[in-house]
Amino acid sequence: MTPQENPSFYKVNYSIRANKNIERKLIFDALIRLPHSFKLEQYRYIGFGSMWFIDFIFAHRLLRITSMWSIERVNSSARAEFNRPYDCIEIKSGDSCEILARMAPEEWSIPFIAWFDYDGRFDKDVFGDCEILLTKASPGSVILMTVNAHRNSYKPVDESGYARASINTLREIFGDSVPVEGVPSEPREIEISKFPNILSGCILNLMGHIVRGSGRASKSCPYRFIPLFAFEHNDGAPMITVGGMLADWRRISDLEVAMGVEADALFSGKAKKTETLDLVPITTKEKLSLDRLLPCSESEFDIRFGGSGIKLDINQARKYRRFYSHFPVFAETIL
Amino acid sequence: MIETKSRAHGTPTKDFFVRMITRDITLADCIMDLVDNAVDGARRSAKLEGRKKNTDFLRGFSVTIRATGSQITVNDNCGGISLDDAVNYAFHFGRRKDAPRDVDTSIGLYGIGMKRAIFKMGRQAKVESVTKAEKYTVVVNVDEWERKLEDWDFDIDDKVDSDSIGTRITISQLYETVSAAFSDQTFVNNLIRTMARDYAFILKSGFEIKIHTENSLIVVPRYDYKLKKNSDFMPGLVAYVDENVNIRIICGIASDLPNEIPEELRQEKAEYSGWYVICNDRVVVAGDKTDLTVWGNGDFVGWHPQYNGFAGFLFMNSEDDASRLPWKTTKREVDTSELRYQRAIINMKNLTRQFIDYTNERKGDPESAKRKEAQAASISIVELKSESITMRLPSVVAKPSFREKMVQVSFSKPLAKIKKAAEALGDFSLSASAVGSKAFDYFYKIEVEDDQK
Repeated sequence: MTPQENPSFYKVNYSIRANKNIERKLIFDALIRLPHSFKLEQYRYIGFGSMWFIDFIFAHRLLRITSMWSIERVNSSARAEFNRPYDCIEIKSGDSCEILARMAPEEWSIPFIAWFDYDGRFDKDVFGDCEILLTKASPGSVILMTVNAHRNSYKPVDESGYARASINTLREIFGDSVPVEGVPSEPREIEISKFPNILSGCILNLMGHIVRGSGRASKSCPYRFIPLFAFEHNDGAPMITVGGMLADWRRISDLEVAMGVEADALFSGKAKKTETLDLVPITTKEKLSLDRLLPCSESEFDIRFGGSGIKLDINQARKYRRFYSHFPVFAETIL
Repeated sequence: MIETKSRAHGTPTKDFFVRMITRDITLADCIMDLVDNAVDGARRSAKLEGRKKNTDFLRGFSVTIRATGSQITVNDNCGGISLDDAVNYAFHFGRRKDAPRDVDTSIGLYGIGMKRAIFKMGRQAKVESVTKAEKYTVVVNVDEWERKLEDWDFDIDDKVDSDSIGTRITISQLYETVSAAFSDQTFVNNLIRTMARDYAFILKSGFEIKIHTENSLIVVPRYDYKLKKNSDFMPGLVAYVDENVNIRIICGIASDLPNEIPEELRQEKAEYSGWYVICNDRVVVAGDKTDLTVWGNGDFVGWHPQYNGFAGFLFMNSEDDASRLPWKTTKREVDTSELRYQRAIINMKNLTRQFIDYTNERKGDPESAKRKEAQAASISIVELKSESITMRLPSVVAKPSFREKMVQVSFSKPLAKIKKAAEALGDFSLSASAVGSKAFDYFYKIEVEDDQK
């Protein structure tokens, strides 16, 4: 995040984007389910709280975290200071890379959940943040990144108007972290619908590689990266949220039990949660009608939906069934 | 006074093999040492079957590397190791003088690769071999083996789980760093890319390498080295025999050359440019830009980014004695003091000079040179069968009177401002240099051209 970019909070109230809202709930649901031995209440939460601090409210209410840093660009930090909902949120004014570079060793010693929700694409600045977080964080820390995943954001145009293939941009940023399977070579382009998944693979591979390359270890066992999330949400532009945990050997057995898989599967990302959240907006009447059909199995839902008279596409209705308990309800209030 | 009976001890220690020589080689190169053994097995089997050395010489032979967090298995179908070879040669440290030379153009030559790979990766291994005549398992328990100071042999067992002809090496009790490497998909991708590059000429004979990890099963792709060839371009080729080693030197233009150097400094474009050294079809040095080959070697010019796009290949093949070739034990470097190699370097320099002259000439009219380069088709270098080809490059005539003199402009501005300017120019995805160029065009049109009307 750089200080002079157009702040997206001028354009968007983050609390009322349905898919983003569901994604946030799913991620905090997963974090709550981490083993008690992690003692998340002693963690620090670091994010870009903007003016709304939605994720900070979740972190405080659900995870009971009481040490929180919100990184905000210099021009907006005074407004963020005014809007911070809790006294335990500290506004850190400046670029994320500057704030991370200034962190003292004792501040890195506290494990954290860092969710860096960028407005733009994964670029060298995001790479830099990712690298510093994963090479300095304490074991047990969770690192999440949200970036734009529209293929055309990765197709810069040169002077002669030629747009380079997105795969070349990915190779330039991610090198060998670009997955081998399912990626075409130039001049073929990556299909727009497949791009978010490939980008998620790139970032998770990169995160694992950074952790291994850091050479950090305890009792000769290298720290490991455990992919936990690969979400895609679409509230106008496709965005992905990916991340995982930096773990030392002491955490592995607890995670094996909590997630019901063996260590190898943890490291290879088999336990990560993957969702595509592209639910269409629905009316209050549709929501209430759908809710009256639930809960039930998908096959039962199909039957009930068929006789309900609701005029939604069946695939969208099925998706609603999966996330109905997380689907947000927005209402106007008079203050 | 020293007694005549006194001797200085020269006995090797096991620790030297387990912990010292394993430091000289990377994990990836250790895996490739095991693949080299499979390739030799395939060549031996193909020869026994009486196959002709054409593009299908090794078809049907393959090796699969399977890595999990707890063990690595390298499994091939390349004929297995005979019991006699296992007892007398394969587990011997260093190649014995009397070891049979039953493989043409062998790539396993020092008698260290397999043991070093095992020691590098874990504390336990078993080597199972099934041939047409026999099957057995050699068990390597590194801890036990180290404890027995005088006994350097490994136990052979007649129990084998498989009936498929071939060799299966299973390394377990992996070191944590090794286990971590194979769950790092970036490491695995790099290994695949390196194998595609270094086994390109072996894979072209039909051999197959598969890598199986928790997440994927990948067949190593067949990389094809190509050089430009049409009426303007022809790769140069020199072939000769130097003291029982067949030498072929090929070079030319692999891809379009750069006009603006800074744009082409990106690593992925530069990576494949430079000289390659290939010993018995195995790439040992790739894309070299140092004095290991010609660049900055003696009074020869050093590498410069304007040479990106050049590729040269030195093939050194020895049918019956791989030790004549200049490779080192890791097969990642060459011994520059080897005399055949030194003589080859002279020929490589002569060919490279022609290319360097062309890159200087093309500055006179880079646009027309670039057009010609873009139009030229490419030929796989394995299709260049002649004994001698004169390199042909287009003649470029400088046209200063017809060409506007250009100057490159470079400046730094805050990224956020560049992004805003890109949006203002109507395309948020414009590169920074495109924003600069378009901004200049805009200024020139409004402030200069319009004033002159």
